[in-house]
Amino acid sequence: MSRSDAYMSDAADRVMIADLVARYVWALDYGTAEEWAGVFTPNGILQGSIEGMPRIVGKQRLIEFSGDLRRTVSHLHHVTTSLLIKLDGDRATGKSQLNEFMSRPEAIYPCFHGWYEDAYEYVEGRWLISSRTVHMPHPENTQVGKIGEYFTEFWKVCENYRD
Amino acid sequence: MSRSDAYLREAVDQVMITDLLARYVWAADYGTPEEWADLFVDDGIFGSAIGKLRVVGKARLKEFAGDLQRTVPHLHHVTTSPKIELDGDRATGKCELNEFLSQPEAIYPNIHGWYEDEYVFADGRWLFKTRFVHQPHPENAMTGLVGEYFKDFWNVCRNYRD
Repeated sequence: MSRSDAYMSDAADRVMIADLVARYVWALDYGTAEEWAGVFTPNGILQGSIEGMPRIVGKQRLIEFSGDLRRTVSHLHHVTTSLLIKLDGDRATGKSQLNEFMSRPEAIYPCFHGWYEDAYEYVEGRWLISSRTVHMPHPENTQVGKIGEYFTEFWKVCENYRD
Repeated sequence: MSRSDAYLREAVDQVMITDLLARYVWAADYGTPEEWADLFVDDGIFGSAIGKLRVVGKARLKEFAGDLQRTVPHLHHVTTSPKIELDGDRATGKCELNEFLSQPEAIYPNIHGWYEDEYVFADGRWLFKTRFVHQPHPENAMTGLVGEYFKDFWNVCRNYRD
């Protein structure tokens, strides 16, 4: 059975959005605050879905938040998998599972079990994130025990981000 | 160096099978039993070497998905590194599976294994013909606190020896 032009174009967009999602992870885990903010549109939004989680709007605030995240909770891996995308011309939505791990000398801690829900825009030849919402069924995972201790400062700094 | 039509065709099929793998995960972890069963062909098979689990056909697949979601909620089936071999409108593949169970007190890694799959391209999309779970250490989900959380699931698996 042959493959239609629409099938080919659909696949190409999916690959490029997957590339965007990978760039987000590398920028956040090992890159710079500017690189990370650069994967968003100029008025891009990062927010959490539950009370107490931050809401950050626009490049400058994203850069600030990224710096605070790295300072308060270093050595994270944002393992994002199973990217599911719905395409609509030069816009798209997507979701991916997020399993986050924090590395410390004494252990690697699974610290986050949730997912991202995104909106993307195709701008000047590339896809960017216009909004990303973080969902977390059990936020207490990062608030109790040893992991809670490591995340204490991060949750405090999140209070500065209710844009 | 330019890319041949065959190369491009292989790449797009790889992307669309990867999309199928993602749909499987979302259906299993956050979707409905119908959504999960619909990713298989009508006589599709899901199985595991462990507990002789074998589920055949859409109706049974839907029942099994319901039982899985009821007995062990809050799972993440983290599938990575898909390795796909294409053969026209058929393909085989495998991907690593690292499964995590989220409970309020902790996130538990509970499966360290892989899937081995057969896929079919039908009516413009890829579907599972078969999917089998492999686990070097099935005891990971049978002992300790993780075993307690999985106890009902292993009991219900006895109903699926199709």
